[in-house]
Amino acid sequence: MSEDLDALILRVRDLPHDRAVGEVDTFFRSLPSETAKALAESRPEQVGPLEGAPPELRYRANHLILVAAQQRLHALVESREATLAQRRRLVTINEMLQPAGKRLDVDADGKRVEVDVPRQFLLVEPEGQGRMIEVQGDLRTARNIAVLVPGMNNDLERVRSQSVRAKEIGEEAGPGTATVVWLGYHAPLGLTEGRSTESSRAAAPLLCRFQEGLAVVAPDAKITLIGNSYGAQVVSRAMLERARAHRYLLTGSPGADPRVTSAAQMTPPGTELFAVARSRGDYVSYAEQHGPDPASFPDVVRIETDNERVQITGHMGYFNKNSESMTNVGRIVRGDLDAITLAARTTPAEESRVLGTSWAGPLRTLGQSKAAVPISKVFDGLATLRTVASTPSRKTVLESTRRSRTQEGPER
Amino acid sequence: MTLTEARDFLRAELLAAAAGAVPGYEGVVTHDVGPVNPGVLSDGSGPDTICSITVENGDPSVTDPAGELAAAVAALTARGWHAVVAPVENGHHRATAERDGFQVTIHAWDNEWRLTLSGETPSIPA
Repeated sequence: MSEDLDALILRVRDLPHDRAVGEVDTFFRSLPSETAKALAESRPEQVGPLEGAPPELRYRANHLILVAAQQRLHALVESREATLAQRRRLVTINEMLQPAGKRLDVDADGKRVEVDVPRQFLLVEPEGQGRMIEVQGDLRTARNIAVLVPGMNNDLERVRSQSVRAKEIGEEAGPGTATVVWLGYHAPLGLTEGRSTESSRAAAPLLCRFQEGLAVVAPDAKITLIGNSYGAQVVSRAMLERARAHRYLLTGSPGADPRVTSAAQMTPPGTELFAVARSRGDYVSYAEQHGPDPASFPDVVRIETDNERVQITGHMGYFNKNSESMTNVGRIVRGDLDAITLAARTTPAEESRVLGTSWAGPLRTLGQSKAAVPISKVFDGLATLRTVASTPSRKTVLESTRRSRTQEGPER
Repeated sequence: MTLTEARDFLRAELLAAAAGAVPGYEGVVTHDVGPVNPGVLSDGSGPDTICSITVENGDPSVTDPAGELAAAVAALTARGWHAVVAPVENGHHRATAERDGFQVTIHAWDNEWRLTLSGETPSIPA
């Protein structure tokens, strides 16, 4: 069976995404459930990231990958051979092995019970910068699924905050929603890398294959693909490669491609909605580093970001609690498209005048100039300093490992 | 107020409002992972300065989204929060509340017995 799996992986590698995930799905459907489970246990590195494989098996395989990484790093810390980065990584993995939280449910007698919710990963890459794909909710039964693509500076340590955003998107979208944090790519670490499309070009086919796999696992669910900041660049590239989803949302986009000037050029066939958000003073969107800002496309749905109580300014607030932007995200994900509130069509120049600051012109120039390189390096240096300062002690790391080992992972 | 104090305060407020909304049942903290970075979607390198907490409550034998939401709002208002109930939108009952930079959202849904109260602390640097 192990040889069959190897042959399958080799065969589907260069197939079109839909055919590849279809073959993987057929392969696992042909296996008795105990055989399939045994395969996930014995070959976690192969089953864990395999698009089209049953999510329950992938959750189990990726849990085993995390446990193996935990043991390896723990041994290094105990023997005092671990680097600072390895200590930090162990803390991260310990947290990834702990339950995501609880939920209320009813038992067979109709009584209310509290149920632990394990973390569910469709991908974990514990080495180096790290990658991961996390699912909250039940992909098999979800009516709506939101796939959130994080942007710059998200590595395995720092992506943990994305899980909180995904949780809040799920709450806004309501019952029957599953959310996915898709850090299936190596996000740019720092502005220097963020000025390049190398990461997004590498990410696009991975995201396309993931989306095809999701369609196999959840054929009846409506899927919304959300990208913010550099994540919007990733989603845009994937859309240009016809990434499958029902709805697309870009927030704080740095542009899709210099040649793309309309929604019609990038929306795949069958798209229900292509929406974008740009708040006042979003210097990243104004700079148009990677192409014209989709919020300025003539044929796009531009959602409102502000309401009477919460006003968003700048690049960082699209998912702020109780903002109109976040409320609209929930409406889009659950398909209440008639309820979406729309923003006035304004240009970056008009918004700059309202703010009293001329952002657009200088930033667009700066983003494409040689001066952006040294500025990026200063920013990147500060980010590195913050990372080093937050490195935990050996004692803290070992204590967090002990705590994580008292928790059970998914048994599926 | 430190971030730890803010987190403890928010958790207690959410639990009090949840208890006030559903007679005979206590709320349950379903998510509380500790400090996170609020700017995560654009720049993961920032410091962890906020806490986000979710509390659920409900009686499986009762589905009363409007009533439970109103009771939760009343409980928060009595505790000094400024709350606003939004018009019902395709079965989504929603209210927001604010106090001293803390933000809370209450969600209830037609045909759903669970009430969700989700809160966020103001940003407090360590």
